[in-house]
Amino acid sequence: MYGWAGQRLRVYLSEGRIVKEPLSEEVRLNYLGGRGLNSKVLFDELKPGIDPLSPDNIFMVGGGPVNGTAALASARWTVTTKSTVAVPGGLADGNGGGDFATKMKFAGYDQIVFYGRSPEPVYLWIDDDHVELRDASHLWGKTNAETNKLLWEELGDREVRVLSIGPAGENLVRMTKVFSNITRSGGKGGIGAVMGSKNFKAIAVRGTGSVKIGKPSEFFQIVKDSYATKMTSPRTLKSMETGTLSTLRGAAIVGALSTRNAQSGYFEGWEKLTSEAFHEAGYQVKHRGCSACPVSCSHYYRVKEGPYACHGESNEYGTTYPLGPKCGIDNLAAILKMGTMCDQLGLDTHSTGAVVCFAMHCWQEGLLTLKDTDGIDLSWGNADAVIELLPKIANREGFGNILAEGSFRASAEIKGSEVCLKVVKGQEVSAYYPGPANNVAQGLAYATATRGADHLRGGVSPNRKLGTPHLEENLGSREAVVRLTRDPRSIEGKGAYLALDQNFRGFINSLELCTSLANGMDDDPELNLVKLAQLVSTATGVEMSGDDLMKIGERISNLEKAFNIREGMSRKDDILPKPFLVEGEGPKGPIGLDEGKFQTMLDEYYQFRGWDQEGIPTRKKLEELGLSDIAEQIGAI
Amino acid sequence: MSIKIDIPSYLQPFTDGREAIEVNGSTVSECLNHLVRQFPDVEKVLLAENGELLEDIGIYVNGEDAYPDELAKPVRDGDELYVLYMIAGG
Repeated sequence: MYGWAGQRLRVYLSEGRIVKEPLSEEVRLNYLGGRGLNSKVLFDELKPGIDPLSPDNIFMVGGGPVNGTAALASARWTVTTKSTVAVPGGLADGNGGGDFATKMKFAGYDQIVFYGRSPEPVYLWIDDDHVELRDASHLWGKTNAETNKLLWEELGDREVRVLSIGPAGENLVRMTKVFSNITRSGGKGGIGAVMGSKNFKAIAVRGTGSVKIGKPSEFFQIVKDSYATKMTSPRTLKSMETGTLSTLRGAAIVGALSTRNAQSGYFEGWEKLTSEAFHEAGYQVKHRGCSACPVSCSHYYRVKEGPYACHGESNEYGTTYPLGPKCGIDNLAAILKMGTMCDQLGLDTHSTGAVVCFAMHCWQEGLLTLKDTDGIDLSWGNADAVIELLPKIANREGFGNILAEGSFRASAEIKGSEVCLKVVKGQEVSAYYPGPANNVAQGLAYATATRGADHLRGGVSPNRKLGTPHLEENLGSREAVVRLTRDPRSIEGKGAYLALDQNFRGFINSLELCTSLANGMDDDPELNLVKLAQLVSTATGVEMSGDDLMKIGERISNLEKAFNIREGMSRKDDILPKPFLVEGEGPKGPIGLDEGKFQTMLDEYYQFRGWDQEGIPTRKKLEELGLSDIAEQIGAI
Repeated sequence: MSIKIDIPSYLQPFTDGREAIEVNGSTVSECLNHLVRQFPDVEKVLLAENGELLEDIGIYVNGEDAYPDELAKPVRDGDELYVLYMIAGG
């Protein structure tokens, strides 16, 4: 077999049993790996309606067919489970980097699925063919850095790679992620809490194998060309310097910088938080990349002195906007300290920042006072208050215990706080203020993303990787393609465009290539749908076209949608928070989108996808995707 | 040659509120430079210190993505340019 390792591990935590099994060709070719593979198992094996924090839930980590190869930016992994925040119930997944997925592949596994609940804390030790569950009582309560260090010492190998949760995951906090390489994280919907609920602390893997390539000379020519293009691109060189933090400047200029619980898209203190400000302050130590990636967009930082002295990795947009502008904070050193704390405690910066700013919004509205917050002043911009709150959330202490439930559930405890709530499907709205002067497809993406509002699930800026010919063919006219950029406020064609964008991301996430590719913002113009198909075909030895890959992405999108429908979701859950459905004028241009227009856009999206008016995939569409066997389960007609 | 540059709302504060600007030039670079000569404030949100486009700027010529090598792309009389901030990821 080429590309894939061809093997899955099933780990039954309640009994301490481990089963190895081959990965079928049918699953490999229809779902590729990573996200697709995980979503397939979630749909097939999870009983509907179960409590996500019970032993009935399953949790899995998946890799893709190009993990462990030289393909550029091919080091991602996906974790998937039933969400702890979705209402009434839905999928949760997350995608991270580092080199855990590379080592897992080298050890010989494409996917690991966990069932049940261990009676005592355990971790999984994978040493190539040897796999065993080990006692983790000495790791329980430890931070991600401490866990890595202890495991390296115990296993006697600094090259062992660890996927772990922090104390917040152990304490079932619903804004928790899973971490590899200490700080590379993924996981919306409280995946860390699901691991914690299973008394499962970490996976440690030593992989010494390799990946067989189907057509080595052709594959390496594609990879070589891609590296050459990438490493001479001025934008790549800029990415090395700025990482994802460069996004903050653009978001501020277009009015997409989510500010004070997304009450606005413009933050007056943004210039203190840019990559330039970071470098001028001398916080950078060095930058580092994931395996098989020369871009090295992640930065180590150190704040040498003062109340916010800290050191860590990844001063990203995704750590800066939620803990900065969203909380009205313009102190970069304090934000770095908060990001470091979140990484060590195992908290997701996006959702944790969203929950904290929800509480600050409640404070603004007079819904919370000092007696409710353990004496913490939650005024906008109070960085010290956030720093005091983070461990209270992670350890579920006092007021932190209310916030640890996520903003949707916390809102039920704070009378009148519905006006401050910014969630879709129970998941906090992330990254960009929706409905500013940029594309309205972003709002539709937030409303329809299968894991709840999420900036990595499409729609933000035009996806260059789709290419004009492909878009023109699917949108029906050249004018429709032009409208994507020339008329970002127009709803026409946006539903169809978003469906294509989501399908593209579906297969990229399943190949486990970098999110920069999934966003369509990768700066290798040659790496289009055709070239991506050649990359997969030469790696796996299985001929695939760009259309085949898009079809796989569409299959994954439909299966995830079907999972959510089976959990009780319907059209009413594909909606934005009310404040975003009111049109107005913001400091950078028109904001919001009339609900009638939104519903028209949603109709177009459903129609293009071949779904009925309730958003349920039709039997015809399911048959076309080879999913007719699930029609009964979701009431498809 | 007359080329029209459409300015999105969020960049209009840098062009005295103008939604569209007529410029002259035979390449995207020349057109943007003419724009900057008319409205110097716009330079800081379009161009880096070395004269290259900022990494998050997209240029579209008659609706077609000019990426890559946008600045060198030729334009003709009557063409329309559109400037877009490309934000993604995080």
